[in-house]
Amino acid sequence: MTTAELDVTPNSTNDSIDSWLTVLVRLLDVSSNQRDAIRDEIEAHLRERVRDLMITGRSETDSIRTAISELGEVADLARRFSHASKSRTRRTIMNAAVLAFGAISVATATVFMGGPQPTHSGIAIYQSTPADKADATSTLDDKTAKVNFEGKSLEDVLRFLAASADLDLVIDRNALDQTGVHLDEQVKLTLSKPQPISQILKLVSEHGEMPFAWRVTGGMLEVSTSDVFDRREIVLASFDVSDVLDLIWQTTDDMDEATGRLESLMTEYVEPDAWNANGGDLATMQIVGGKMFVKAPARFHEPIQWILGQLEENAADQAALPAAGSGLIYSDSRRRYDRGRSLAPTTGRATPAPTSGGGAVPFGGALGDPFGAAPESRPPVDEPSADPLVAPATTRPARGRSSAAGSTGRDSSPAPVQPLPSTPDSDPGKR
Amino acid sequence: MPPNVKPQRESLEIVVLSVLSEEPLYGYAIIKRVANRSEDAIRLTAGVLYPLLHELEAARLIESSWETVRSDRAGESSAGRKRKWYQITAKGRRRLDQRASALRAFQSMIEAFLPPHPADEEATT
Repeated sequence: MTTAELDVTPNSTNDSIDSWLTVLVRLLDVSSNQRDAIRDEIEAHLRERVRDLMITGRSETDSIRTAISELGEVADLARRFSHASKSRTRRTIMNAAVLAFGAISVATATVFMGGPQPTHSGIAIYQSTPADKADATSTLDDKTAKVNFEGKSLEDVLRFLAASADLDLVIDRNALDQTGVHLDEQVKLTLSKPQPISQILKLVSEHGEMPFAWRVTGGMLEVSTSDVFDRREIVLASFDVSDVLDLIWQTTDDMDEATGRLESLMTEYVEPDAWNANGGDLATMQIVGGKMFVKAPARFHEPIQWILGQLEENAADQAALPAAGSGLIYSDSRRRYDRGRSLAPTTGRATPAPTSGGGAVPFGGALGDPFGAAPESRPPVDEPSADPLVAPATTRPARGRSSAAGSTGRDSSPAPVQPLPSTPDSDPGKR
Repeated sequence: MPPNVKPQRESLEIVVLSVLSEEPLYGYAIIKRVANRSEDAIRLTAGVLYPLLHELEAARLIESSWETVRSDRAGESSAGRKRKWYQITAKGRRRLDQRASALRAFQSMIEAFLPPHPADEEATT
């Protein structure tokens, strides 16, 4: 579409604006198509802004300087655009904000005010003790030991492994005792080759049928039960589920039902016994608006995130869920095997399904379409608007998606504001 | 708007979707529309708005199209300048409704905890 308008932009702005745009474009970490589109869009903005400023009587140089300064630091703007182009996939996970963690949390997660906020969009779904992860990977995975535990007591084994990892040992005897794990139980395990200590702990726990768990924090190997660590690591997090709800909503036409389905999906497939809704006392969730608040042990959040990611992906692509037997797999087998560690389970695409043990949720195959959504049944995105305020067709731009679409992550930091000098043309959008 | 209050990301999303729910606009027009509608209380900066628009477009909450603005200026390139227009999608309208409902619910809930406005107190005394 082509329209005509009075152009009062002086020629000399070309050099200054072009120079600035060249710097911006060089800093953009986006595709070439996006780069061109961003340049065109920002250039149009600058020229119009300069024109408006000059109409108010300001000099050309001053107008250019003001217009450019209103865009902020060029590097920062480039970062925002680049972030936008990369955040498409992150949106499947996105906007998870750890609001608080620890055993002391609010009883319900309707509204949480004042907790730490994410500095930018991202995947900070949960936050266990940072040192925990670091120590767990660097110490227990890196250090090895050759073991012959024939007839040794569990306590002796733990002491040996802690010493091998150069860690102090802290044992929660009461919790272990109540779970039926007795420190004087004999361990029978002989390995011919040195193995990582993390692996040895798994073998002792799994094969010895001693369901203990462990964490590494601050130079200590802490041994207790999963339940103790879960309660200590309860996290309140929020997930942006607006896109997912939108998808379900299209199939149900009932927001209450949509939220109910989403809650059921989570409480059925992620540690079902732990949820308050299922009679458990470890985890609760509530959906408010487009947010799903989950207060649960840290290790729950990754599979929740994975399920949401699958649904988000489906919503975003408006494609059918994977056909039966296709290979989108969430495997928590690693966590099951490695339950003493605080590390999150692995996620991703994999075929075939993980080994037996019930640790896999084959999405699409076993579940089918959890909402009975037929992609074809969704209303088209570009359906005509019935809004009477929409500009007449003769002046409205042609519909259609720009090939230069970008995206940006959820930047929840406060948006800066700057004064906008008034101009005679107070509303150029009215045509 | 109190001087120390800055709109959060989600509030800006509502603001942008709201003005686009009225009619298609391009970036600069959105800035001016928002300033006018809020009586200059909300002044979007271009550096915030354009990345946000790209995000909303990626989320299919809005869609865009390009317009070529022909210049009447003598000697100007006949190719003209490009202008990117945005309009809300059906999904964007649903999102706007959803966000607005949540915001209203929050407002009504928090209202009970707000101290009386000084003007109201004076009126009652």
